[in-house]
Amino acid sequence: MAVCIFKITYRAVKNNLIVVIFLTFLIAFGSDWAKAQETNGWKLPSTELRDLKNNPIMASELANSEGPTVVNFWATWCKPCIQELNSINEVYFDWQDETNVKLVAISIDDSRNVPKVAPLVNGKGWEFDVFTDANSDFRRAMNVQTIPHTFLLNSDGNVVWQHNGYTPGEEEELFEVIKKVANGEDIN
Amino acid sequence: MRRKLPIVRILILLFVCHYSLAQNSSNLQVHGDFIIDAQTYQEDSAIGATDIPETIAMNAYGNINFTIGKFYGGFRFESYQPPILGYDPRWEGFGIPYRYFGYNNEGLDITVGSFYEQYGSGMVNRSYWEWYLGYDTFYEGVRVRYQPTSGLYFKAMLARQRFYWDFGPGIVRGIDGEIDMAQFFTGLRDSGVGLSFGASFVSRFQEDQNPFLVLPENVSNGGFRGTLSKGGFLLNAEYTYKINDPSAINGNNYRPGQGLLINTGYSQKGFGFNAGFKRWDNMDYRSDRTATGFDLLINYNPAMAKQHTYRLATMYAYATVPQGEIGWQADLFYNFKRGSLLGGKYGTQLNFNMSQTFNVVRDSIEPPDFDTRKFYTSPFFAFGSPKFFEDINIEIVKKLSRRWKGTFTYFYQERDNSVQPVTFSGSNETVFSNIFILETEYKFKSTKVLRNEFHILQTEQDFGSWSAILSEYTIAPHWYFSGLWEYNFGNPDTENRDHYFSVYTGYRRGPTNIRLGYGRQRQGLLCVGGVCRPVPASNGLILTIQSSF
Repeated sequence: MAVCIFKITYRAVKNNLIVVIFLTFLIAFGSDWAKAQETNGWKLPSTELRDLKNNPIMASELANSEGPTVVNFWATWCKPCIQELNSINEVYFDWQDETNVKLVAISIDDSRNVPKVAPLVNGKGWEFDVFTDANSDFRRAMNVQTIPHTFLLNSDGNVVWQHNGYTPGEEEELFEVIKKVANGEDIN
Repeated sequence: MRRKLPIVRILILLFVCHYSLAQNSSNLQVHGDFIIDAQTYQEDSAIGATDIPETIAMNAYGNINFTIGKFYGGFRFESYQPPILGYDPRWEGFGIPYRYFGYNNEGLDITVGSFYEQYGSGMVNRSYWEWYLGYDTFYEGVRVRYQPTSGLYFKAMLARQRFYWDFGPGIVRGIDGEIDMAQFFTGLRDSGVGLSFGASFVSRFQEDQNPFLVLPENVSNGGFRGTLSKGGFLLNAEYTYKINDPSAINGNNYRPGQGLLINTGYSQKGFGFNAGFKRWDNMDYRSDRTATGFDLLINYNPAMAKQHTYRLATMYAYATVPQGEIGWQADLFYNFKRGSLLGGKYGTQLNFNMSQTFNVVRDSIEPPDFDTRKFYTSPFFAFGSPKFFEDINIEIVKKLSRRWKGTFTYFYQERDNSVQPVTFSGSNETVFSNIFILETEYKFKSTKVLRNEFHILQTEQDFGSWSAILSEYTIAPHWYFSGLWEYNFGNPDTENRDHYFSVYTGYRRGPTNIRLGYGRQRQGLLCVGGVCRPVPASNGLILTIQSSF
């Protein structure tokens, strides 16, 4: 058994040596860069999105200067995404009262499903702004792989926190971070 | 060796960037992500799973995006050694195929290198990347986007298309523009009417090397589109026309192609409705006329069917027919308010969807005219035969108490397997199925949740009926554990009534997600922890690591 595991690991490393080296560098640099950016973060890129009436809007205009901004990537076919947005919607007014937070939901539905976005959003009675990113341009610019994926921006419009995936109850963790960012506290 | 050089160069570049720019990082913003998907394979003849000589297969990529003031750039390293089964074997290899650099200032945006593009709904031009489908058709060339004033933009591009580790033979040129009338006519704006128009034009050049036919070397495809909105009402339409484009897909037919997509909807708080219609005749358009499958597609054919995620509801999922199809669909979303008769204490959400897609009508030209080679005529709005797909589904989401939540979904599906087969037995008969899915969620604590799905797919065709149970226990915010059991209890061949067991566990922290799984996987679409991808039958260990920064 041990030999077998060793053999598989050895083969994996040997066959993918360049990959392993590259990813090691990526992780090393990534964390370094992340550290360098902790002080100033990074801003939303100027990528084109559409509102629910198909009007273009630049992603760089989404940040809320009055408080933190939550940018959440979702799609009509993604169950955990809808579950997460439903849960946040239930407490959204309380969150806004306490922290001035603004939630922006970005649907990555392609043109097959874009027509379903507005009826779904209204059908579920969601109270936050929703935009569509039909060819995933914004998604790629933000390095989002799988959804749901959540970013938190401070009131200067800098990305200070991000999170991938959703399981019930995680919105509470998100709110703790929002409160810290709203109060200008260190989130690490 | 040729492929290794750019990697070394990039690493040196990373060093240089790192040490020279990190010191002046106020201007520099760098972020990226990576994914590693690895799988081991064991032979399992009962379910048709094979092993591979390499024992382990791995797909991986790493992405870096950066901006320095008005400049931006990035690259993506990819590796498939070998590709995970189910991905096209032509992905085998590694390198940095995707890299770009650009400048963005005051409405002008110029990109050189690799880029993705979509005009309108994509029926004229759409290049995109879907990692879990093994689909990537980025353009390699130059793109300019110019916005002279708010409410008006133009885009232009000239490029070749990615073809696995190479580029397609055709050159693709495109222009696109859109105007928002409400920005220019105050009357419209004051009355709350939104009105915009767009037009796009794409031309492909590919040399004619055919000794028998005179093939058009420049093939153009253009479209007009418009959006009208007022209050909760929205109407969106696009018409496209492609000149003669004899190809492998249409059997060297010189008939021009036409496409029409109309979507309309109305919604207000608690209620949403939308309906769509599509006609697609001979609109398949690629940067190589001999390409088939998913290769080198320039445009996109949006399916007129709802995209499902439940495991058994995607068993006979719809796949678009590139030669031609005509279809419609409608959706209804309704929220029964809290306290109402059907809403109960917590409210009830209802979603109804129906869709049908048929072949276009093709009246053969008799006798066949080998001078024009147009071969058929087709009445524009006629529904032909066979019916490719029908789906009627209703979903009810209900919170029962503080701890219990339930979702019930019923689907009736009909799927023709004569043209684009999705079949396990190889039979080409139409599959008629009834699918019942009950999903329950129980909260032990606010962060500890047990979710169960019970599926039944009833059908007389193909491999017969199936059942499935999925259990998922999650401890927010870090851990999840799940198990899936699928059973082909209705297989007409009683010896092949197979069981498929698999287990998964995962750990997530911030943007990092590590997932480990083991077991048998049925061929089909796999969705765990909110992520779906198509997979062939397999048996083995699965590891996924993903993160972004």
